[in-house]
Amino acid sequence: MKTFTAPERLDEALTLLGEASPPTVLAGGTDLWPQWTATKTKPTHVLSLHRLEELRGITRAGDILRLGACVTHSELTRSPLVQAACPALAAAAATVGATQIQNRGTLGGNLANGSPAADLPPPLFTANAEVELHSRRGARRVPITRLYRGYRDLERERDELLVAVHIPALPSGALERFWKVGTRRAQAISKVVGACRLALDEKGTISHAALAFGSVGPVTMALDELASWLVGKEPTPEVGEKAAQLASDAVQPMDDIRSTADYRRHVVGRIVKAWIVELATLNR
Amino acid sequence: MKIRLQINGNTRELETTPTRTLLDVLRDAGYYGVKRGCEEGTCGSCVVLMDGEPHMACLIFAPAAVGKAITTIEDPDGDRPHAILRALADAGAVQCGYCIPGMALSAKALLDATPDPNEEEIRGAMEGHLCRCTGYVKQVEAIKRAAELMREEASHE
Amino acid sequence: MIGDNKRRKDAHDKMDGSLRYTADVDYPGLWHAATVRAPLAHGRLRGIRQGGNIDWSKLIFATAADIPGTKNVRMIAQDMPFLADDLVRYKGEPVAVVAAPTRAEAQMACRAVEVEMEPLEAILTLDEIVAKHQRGDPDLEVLSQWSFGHGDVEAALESADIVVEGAYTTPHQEQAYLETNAMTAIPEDDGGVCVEGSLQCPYYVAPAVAAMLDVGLDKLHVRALPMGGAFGGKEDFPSVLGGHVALLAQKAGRPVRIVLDRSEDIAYSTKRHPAWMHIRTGAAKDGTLIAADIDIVFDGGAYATMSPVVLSRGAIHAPGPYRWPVVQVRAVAYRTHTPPNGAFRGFGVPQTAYAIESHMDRLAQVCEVEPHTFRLNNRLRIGDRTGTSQVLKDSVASEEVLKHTMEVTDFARKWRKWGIKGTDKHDLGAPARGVGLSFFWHGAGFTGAGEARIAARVALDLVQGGRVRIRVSSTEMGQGAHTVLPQIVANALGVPHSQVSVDPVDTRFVPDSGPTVASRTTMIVGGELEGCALDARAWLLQSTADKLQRAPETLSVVEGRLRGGKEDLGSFATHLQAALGDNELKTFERQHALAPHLQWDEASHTGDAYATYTWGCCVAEVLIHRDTYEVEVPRLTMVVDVGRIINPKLAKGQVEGGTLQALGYALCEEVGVGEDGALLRDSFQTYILPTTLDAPEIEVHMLEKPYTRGPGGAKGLGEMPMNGAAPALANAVEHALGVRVTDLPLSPEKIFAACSAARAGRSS
Repeated sequence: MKTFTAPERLDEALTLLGEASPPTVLAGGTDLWPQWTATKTKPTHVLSLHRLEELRGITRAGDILRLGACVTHSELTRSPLVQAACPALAAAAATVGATQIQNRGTLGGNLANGSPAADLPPPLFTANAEVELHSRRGARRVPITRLYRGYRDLERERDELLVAVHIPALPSGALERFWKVGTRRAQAISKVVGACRLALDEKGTISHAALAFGSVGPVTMALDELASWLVGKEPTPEVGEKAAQLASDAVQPMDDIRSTADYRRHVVGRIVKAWIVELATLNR
Repeated sequence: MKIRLQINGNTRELETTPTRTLLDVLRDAGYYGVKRGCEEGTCGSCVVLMDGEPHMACLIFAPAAVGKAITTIEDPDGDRPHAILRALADAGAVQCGYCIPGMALSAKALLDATPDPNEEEIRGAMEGHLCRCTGYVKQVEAIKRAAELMREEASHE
Repeated sequence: MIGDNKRRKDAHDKMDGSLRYTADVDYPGLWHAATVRAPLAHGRLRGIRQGGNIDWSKLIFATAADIPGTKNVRMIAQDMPFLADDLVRYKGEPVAVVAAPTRAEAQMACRAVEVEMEPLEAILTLDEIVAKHQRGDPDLEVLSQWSFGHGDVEAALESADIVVEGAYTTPHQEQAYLETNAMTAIPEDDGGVCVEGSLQCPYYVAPAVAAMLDVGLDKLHVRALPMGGAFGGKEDFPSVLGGHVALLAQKAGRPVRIVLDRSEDIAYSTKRHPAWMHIRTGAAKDGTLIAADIDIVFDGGAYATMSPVVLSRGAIHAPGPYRWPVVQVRAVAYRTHTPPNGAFRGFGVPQTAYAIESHMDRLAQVCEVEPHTFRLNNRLRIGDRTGTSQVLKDSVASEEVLKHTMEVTDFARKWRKWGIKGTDKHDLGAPARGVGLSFFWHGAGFTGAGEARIAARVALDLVQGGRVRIRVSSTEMGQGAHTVLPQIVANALGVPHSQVSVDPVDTRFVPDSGPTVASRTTMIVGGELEGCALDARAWLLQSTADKLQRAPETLSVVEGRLRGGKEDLGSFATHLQAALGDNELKTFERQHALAPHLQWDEASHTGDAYATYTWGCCVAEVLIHRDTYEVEVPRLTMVVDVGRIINPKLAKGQVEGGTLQALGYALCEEVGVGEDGALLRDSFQTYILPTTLDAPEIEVHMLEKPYTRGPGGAKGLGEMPMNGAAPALANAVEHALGVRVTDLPLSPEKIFAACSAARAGRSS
């Protein structure tokens, strides 16, 4: 017998997830349905999150933005709080699928699906966000940079539910950017998707750098070595060119049905260069 | 299982299984204006409005639509996007017609929120609808024209 | 009436969702079918076992052994089985069909069938067959070939100042109609079967299915329902599905329907033939053309089906609309172990037009003549001879189309300013800008003696009450035939458009006006209907004149009223009633015959390939991102001559739609074949169609060079918009960046690779 359960209370959902054969967790379904259509399968037991109020809402406390896991892409795009605290995330959400998908798809679904091509993880990586996981055993927080252990393999026990995401707000003066190269201009899965958070000190040298890319490896990749290399340097064209080279070398893309490894390496480099060049203009 | 859906202002009690889609259930109930195109949320042929927002009915388990106000192209009363349909026909935007019900509903959602959209906003609102017959040229024209018509109608009331 | 923007007759029903497409029609007791498919691309069937936890006694199951009549599908070539029997020639080929109360049950049953095969070596890709073709490998199986031309090409090339050689390839293209293939078979009380569905050509399906069931055409009729797009994809393939559901419905004694899901439809239905075209051309120093030698290879897929005629049309158009003193064309379609390729808008021409128009830009460059001047100088004119030695006699709009294009697009100025060699300063922060031109033609109607073979029949009924009913087998797939044909009739008859309708297309009631393909419906079917309408008008006027004792030539019909000079003599309906007397209706019929001056020899492909041609130019403007090589297309301009326009709004819609399909072909659409023979991109997430955000501004200009034998002067329209945008975009990309990608689609990845190679070449 197939079942479809949509509890209104989080503890009910966690109880169901704690059972011996836990149900398939469903948020917006915009990633799951294409997979089910492609494989001509459907889940037996579905736990739909759409009635859980605890998973909704966008709030800010001090420098931390809290996003419920079931916040939709449309809500992310339109939210002044998100636009201020993590503009790259708002920009990323606006590129997911199409308007009709953004009305349905959710933040938590985009993260939990675990696709290396997902659009929302890069800006969360560069913002150093944390995800809040709940189970009957309790709650814990995991830095998003540690959420993905391998291809579609998440640091999430099967009885745990992704409930919220916490994002340190963009400091004033810092630059946050998002860039997606997709298969087309709408309804596109990324060929390369990236985000950065960069800041300059008063001397005009780079004081903070975080860069992350998706679709260029088995998981979203944070370019930490590049980020460390950048800190303390001036954002000159030469630094930009060197950074582009380091970025291209750091990613691990493949040839697949959307793109080629060579192209992806190239594009990652050019995006990084463009960001550094833009950062230099902030200095003037 | 039986579910109660609010469709075009009426409550309908419909038979389904837990994992059928809203697309399946609406078509079973005779709402054939909801078209099956790709079943993966890419083509927009199955778009319906839920609480006024366009959604792909192929991506929704029917029980998840309980409690939402669903609008299909068959909506017989005031909510039916008359001006939009008239403008689509007059512009020559209808060819095979398969994409039209979904497009008209997304256009309605757009014009309800943005009575005077520019071309970029129109194209953005239609980005989830594939049409293979036209170059989208006449749909964009038609939605611009529909916006004018609807504003004229509103000013007369 | 002709030249009016009449609203589509089906617009209202299509908009409010009340129009029923095939999957929207309810039948009591309807069962649903699904297909058991071969697991390997090539091999022998060793067993089909109905396994699994399924009560097979409650389902209907059929294999080739259950087919009572002809096992192969009647098409141009009759080599494809309804269900594979012994040899399997592509992965996913139907080997059995199942009917069950629901689609889910039918699909589940299909998954429980085990198909055992003994594998054979498979040839899967265009690259493989081209490599074998070039070394003359005897392994290749020829499905069709044609060669034609005139003159000694080697001697001519020897004498040329400039020789340019190049090879161009194009991929599969999926029609991607939004309504997937769908067919229903309904057993009838008299023991016959009705097959209805989403199909372009009811008189293809009817004889094919009747032969399969081994029944006469009195026991099998076919209804064409409204189609959610077709574009050639529902030309031959519905015969296969029609056979499957008819077989199941007969066994089940109940209606059976099949609706393909999207991935099946992309993976296993017909597509545009992948093609390789090798062109050698010679020109004099001043850019005058001397000779062309063209070698064409099409990937036919697993069966010949439509390949002979697609290849023929592609080859005939391969030299482009140019005067070549000497030209030779050799074209061959080989078998690969992939789904059979078939009809898709353009029918072989988009491939060869892309090749020759890319090549002409290269040749012009070497001759140092600007691309527009090069084309204008070498264009075909009245009195010139084509590759098939057809001498063009009338309605040649080559000069008008080219000159109008120059005017409305300001091409020459843009071409000189933009581009990698342009006079504009290059801002490396801004996208690379380019503009490209293509010039193309398209033969209207069937090739050669095709129209003589079809001998299209049409009927027009004048009915008591004043209704005028058209009976033809020409179908409405979105292109507007059922709005435009009544316009032609209303115009000739003198009655309002609203008074004329097209009867439902059912082979039991309508004559065979031929298939709805080849840009022939308006020109050929419309032409015969215009004749019927004129006959009907003459009959009515004669009858009225007799009654009123006037000369018939003093009478006329204007807007549904009979007139004697300025005198109103009453309504069309009143006089029709008088003329009909006790009869309910009077029928006027006509049959098409090829104009006697047209001569064609099929074997040598010599003579009048088409009664007339349409002409077109496309100008593409591109902006290419310098970091990502993404191609943005701000504008495509199409200038076309399709003869007299019956309905400008519908006609423009056809051109806009075809142009966007061509943009997809040029930039992003690609299926790809995997190592196991499976088609790789079989969903709308992976097979990339342009969205509203990808679509450019499309500007359409229509010139009207009348064709004397077309209705009101009309020529064909449907296909030619597909020919122009791909080469124009390829030329624009070359103009912007100085690199030429010779295989479609022009993806950012390929443009990047070409630019990298060019940079490496320059630095080494």
